[in-house]
Amino acid sequence: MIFEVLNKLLPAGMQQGVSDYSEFTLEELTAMSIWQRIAIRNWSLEIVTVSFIFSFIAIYKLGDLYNQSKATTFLKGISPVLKKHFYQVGVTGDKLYVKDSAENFSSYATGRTNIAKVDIKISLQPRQNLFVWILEYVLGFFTGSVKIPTDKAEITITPSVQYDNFIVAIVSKLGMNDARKFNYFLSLCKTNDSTNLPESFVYMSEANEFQDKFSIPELNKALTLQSASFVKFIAATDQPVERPESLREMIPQRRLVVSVDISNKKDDLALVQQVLEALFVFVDRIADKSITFRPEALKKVVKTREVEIEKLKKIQEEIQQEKVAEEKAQQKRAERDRLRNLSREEQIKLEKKEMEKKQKKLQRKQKVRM
Amino acid sequence: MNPAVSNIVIMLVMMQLAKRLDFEDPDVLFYTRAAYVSCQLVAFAIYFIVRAKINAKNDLTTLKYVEPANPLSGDAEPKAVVTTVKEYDLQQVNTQVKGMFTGLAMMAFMHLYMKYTNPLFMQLISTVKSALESNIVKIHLFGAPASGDLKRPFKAAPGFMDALTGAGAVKTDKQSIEEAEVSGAGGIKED
Repeated sequence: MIFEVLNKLLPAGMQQGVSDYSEFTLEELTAMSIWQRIAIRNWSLEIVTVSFIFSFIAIYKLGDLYNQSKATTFLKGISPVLKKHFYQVGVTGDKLYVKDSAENFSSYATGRTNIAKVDIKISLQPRQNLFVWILEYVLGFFTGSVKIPTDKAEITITPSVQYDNFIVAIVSKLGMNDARKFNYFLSLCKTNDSTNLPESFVYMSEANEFQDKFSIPELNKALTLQSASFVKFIAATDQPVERPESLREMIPQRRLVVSVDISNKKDDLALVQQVLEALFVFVDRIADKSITFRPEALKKVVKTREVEIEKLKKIQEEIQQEKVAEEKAQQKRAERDRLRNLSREEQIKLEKKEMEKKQKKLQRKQKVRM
Repeated sequence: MNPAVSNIVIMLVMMQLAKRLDFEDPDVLFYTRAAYVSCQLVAFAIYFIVRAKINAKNDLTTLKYVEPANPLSGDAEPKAVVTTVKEYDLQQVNTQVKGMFTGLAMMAFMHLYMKYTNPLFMQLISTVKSALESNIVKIHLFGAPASGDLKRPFKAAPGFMDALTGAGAVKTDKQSIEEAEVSGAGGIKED
């Protein structure tokens, strides 16, 4: 079908389907102009290939541009609150973000008391690659380990003040099991409903103490019933996102994280800004000690960490034991191989020696008995 | 009637009917195909309506339970699930739809590649039947109260594999939930 359509677009000479140069004599060929000679061959395969490549490039570019505009709008949308609080917003003085790839963008803000930096990581749907995009949707529907692609941003605030380790989060009820599944620190928390929050949010925390102090009025006021559709979670944590496999990965890194699905509606962007503002206030209150935690709650935190460290140690010990067992088995095998490779006389000698040893042992035993 | 019993009854009846039909006849073939496709569409429509109803109800009550460890898929420990009624219901619908797709793929292979028409006829009613018998449809389409056997999380009928692998049932008691909830089972790598 498609070939016939394409064929009609070709020059007349090609349409006739003359495709062999051997049908012409040398004189005929030399008499032709270059164009006539080119027209002899059937180029339809090449045309299909080239047009496919160009359409792929065009789709790539379109998706790429769309992603870029989405990221830019989001970053510009939340930059007023950052500009209000930080000396530098953007990766350098004049550049708002770095484009890491067609679907990943990073931005940054720094220069404020009590806060070392704000990292913004944006990961968008792979719109630039049509095939991957479709594949992810299909796999996302049929399997549990691939997520259906979404446009999301993660804003990480790293305070520069010292405070205690704890985990607390306000999590959207839409997709909270996924949040727990993909964030290690949330799976250490207990989930609580509360009337302080809109019905569409829950607290996840290590102790009630933290959730009461974390959700300051400014934060509670910012959240609305509808906002759960794009605010995934707002958390204060010191533990990693991925489940730690070594003790090094468990070293606390205190930070506040806001995870949102990117929505470029004006109201939504304003809400994200309010949330960020509230978190800055929270950090300030921790810094000036107007928010402190009771020692009992902090003890509980230490205990969860200890339990987790024990678990890791146990796993590592098991691995170690397996290694030792493996080595022993290897040694035995090597020894057996060595014996097998010895010459006949040597083997006989060794056997005699073993026999003697055994006999001596037996004699000793008999002596003891007597 | 017990769904398993009615399934067998339907199967026997359909077998007898299938004997009387000549699937070589293009007319019979066409009507069998049309009936199969329309049954699938009806089942799909049921799920679609249920989905819409769940979304409209938007029941955000928190639901916690503990999934048993499944050694076959590599989960060594029981896993706590914290979700909402809405999400649980949507997930149930998705599982049903997935099952339907699997059935469709099987049937496409059997009918289009292996050229068997018999299974197409045998499976005519089963998708619609299993759709109407699923817990989630009972609750949302027929308005059955979500209590007793229909209390979430639904109890799966003990399967053949469970006896072999020793997998337990879903737990909902307070102690095991509290234990599993804070066990740090999350944080799997995404890629």
